[in-house]
Amino acid sequence: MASEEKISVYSLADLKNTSDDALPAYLNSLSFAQSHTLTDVRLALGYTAFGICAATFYWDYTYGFESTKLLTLGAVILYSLLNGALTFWIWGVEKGTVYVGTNSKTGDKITIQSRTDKFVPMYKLTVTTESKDGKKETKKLKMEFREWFDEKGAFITKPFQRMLASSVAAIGKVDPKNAFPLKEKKEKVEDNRSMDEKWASLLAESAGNVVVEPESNGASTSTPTPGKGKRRAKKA
Amino acid sequence: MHSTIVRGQNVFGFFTTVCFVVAALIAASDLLAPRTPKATVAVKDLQVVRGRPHYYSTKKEEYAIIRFSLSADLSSLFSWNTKQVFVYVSASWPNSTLGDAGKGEMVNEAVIWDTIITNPSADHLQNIGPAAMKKLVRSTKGKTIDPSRGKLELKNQKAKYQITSPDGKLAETDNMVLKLHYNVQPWVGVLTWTPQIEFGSWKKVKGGISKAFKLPAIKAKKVVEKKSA
Amino acid sequence: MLSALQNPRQAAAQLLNFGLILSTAFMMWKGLSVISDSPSPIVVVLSGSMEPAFQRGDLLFLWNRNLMEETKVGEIVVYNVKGKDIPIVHRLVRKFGLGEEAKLLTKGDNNLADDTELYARGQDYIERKDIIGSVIAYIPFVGYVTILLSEHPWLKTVMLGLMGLVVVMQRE
Repeated sequence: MASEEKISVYSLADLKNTSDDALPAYLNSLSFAQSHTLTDVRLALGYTAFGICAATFYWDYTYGFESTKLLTLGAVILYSLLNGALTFWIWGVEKGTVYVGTNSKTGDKITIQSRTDKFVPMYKLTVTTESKDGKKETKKLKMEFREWFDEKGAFITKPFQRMLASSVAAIGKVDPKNAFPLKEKKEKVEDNRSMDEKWASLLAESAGNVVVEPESNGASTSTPTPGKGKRRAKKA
Repeated sequence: MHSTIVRGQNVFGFFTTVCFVVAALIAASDLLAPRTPKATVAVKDLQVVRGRPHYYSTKKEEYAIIRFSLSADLSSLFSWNTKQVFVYVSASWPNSTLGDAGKGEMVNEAVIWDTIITNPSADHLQNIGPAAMKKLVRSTKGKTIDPSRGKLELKNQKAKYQITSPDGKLAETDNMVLKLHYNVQPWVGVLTWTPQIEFGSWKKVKGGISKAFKLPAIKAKKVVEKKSA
Repeated sequence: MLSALQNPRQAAAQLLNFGLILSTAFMMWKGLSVISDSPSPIVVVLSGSMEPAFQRGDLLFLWNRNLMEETKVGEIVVYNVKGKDIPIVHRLVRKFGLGEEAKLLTKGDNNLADDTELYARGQDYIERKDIIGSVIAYIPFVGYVTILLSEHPWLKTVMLGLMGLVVVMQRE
């Protein structure tokens, strides 16, 4: 992985490319088998076009323009067709796809497309998961690059993997140790409390009392969160 | 936009794009300027001589010396994108050796006289002496376009170039005509010649063709021979 | 850059980007060639013999098809002379005959004499097949870069090196 290499944090392309490269490295380590069909088709189209150009260059160089005019005309048409197909493939089919892979354990197929907007340091992912029984699910993620790049431009693996494992179920399933419950959920817990309760806990804290999290919050409390109350209790 | 090189590349790229767009707009502006040239050409004097038409000619051949008069108003050809107008008078005549294919068609054509009229914006590029240049520049001081330069009045003008023929025979050639042509050279864009069809506000030359004439028989002219020998 | 080399597909993709830039430029040139029917559809003016119309470094676009009418007197043509490498841009001043057989004579606007002396020994006229195109459009000065490059060959090496470096170093 590119974690030893430092990039310029002001280059959006560098940020995106490094993150794009980290995706397959991480996912392939989680027994995902990467499919290279998209890339291979792109390379085949591109290199065929390049080959046609090389051949044109050869016959033009050896036999001159006049005697190879028709051949060159054919080559130009073929080249523009191939180039058109390549452009269509990149814009219409790949659409920024950086990873396609199927997990050998769960059978989930995952497709990840990434993109960035000009001048906005956000990593935008579109993750499409297709489970074994054919259920499709698309999830859009939008994160700031600074979450996994330090100020010197070094890529930090852990938060990046955590971000993926936590927000995509198909990845979280096979990498449970990185699948932390999301931050939003914690915030939700707090948000669910009424203003009075918050004041009460604050007052209690300042008074040095042990605060117990309210139990009546339904589903969110059933997940074992690293309880704030406990930590505060320790402090107190 | 994260390093000096990338910034430099972007600035240069943007600069060239802007330059090309501006150039394209200037070139397209040519179409907006109407062109309505008119001219009359008439033959004044004709001679066919046998001799060496140029100092470097190796063999004696028949050549024609023509005097003509030209009155032309090409002022509408001068716009802000005009660099120069190349004005030329040609003689054209049917080819007798081609048989049926050449009959009636003006298949032979030779420029007998030409001149370059620069727009004041291109005066400094003319290949003329310093005195003439000073005079030329002074004539349109402060102006970048000077349509009045497009008005030509030539009376009994001697041709700059003699008419020759590859087979060396020219005497008594019939159905010859003189034609006025022009070639507008822009500062940027498409070069245009005397149009064969009307195109938008660009009209064909009104007139600009002389009456058909016949070259006379050979006149032994010793003076010319001596000069070229 | 180094990480790209460890992944053959990515290395291939990066190389392809560079290759496609070169090949697209070449194929556009060839496309222009077959459309205009000229082996060299864009030329740079090298001499002052057509001044004041063309200066050194001006860019000329050529057209070599006779769709509506024949190449005629007054046109500015680019032609090759046997035994000379560099094509010449001059104005057609005389034309005798029709089609392929027509005898053509050229002259530079800035020259006093016609081109007879520029032609090969014993050649008095050029033919239609010697012409690689007539000038139809003009952009000033842009071609000066190529003159600089051919007169100072080390510039060529420096520029190619820089371009290669930039393309290989950065993706996108």
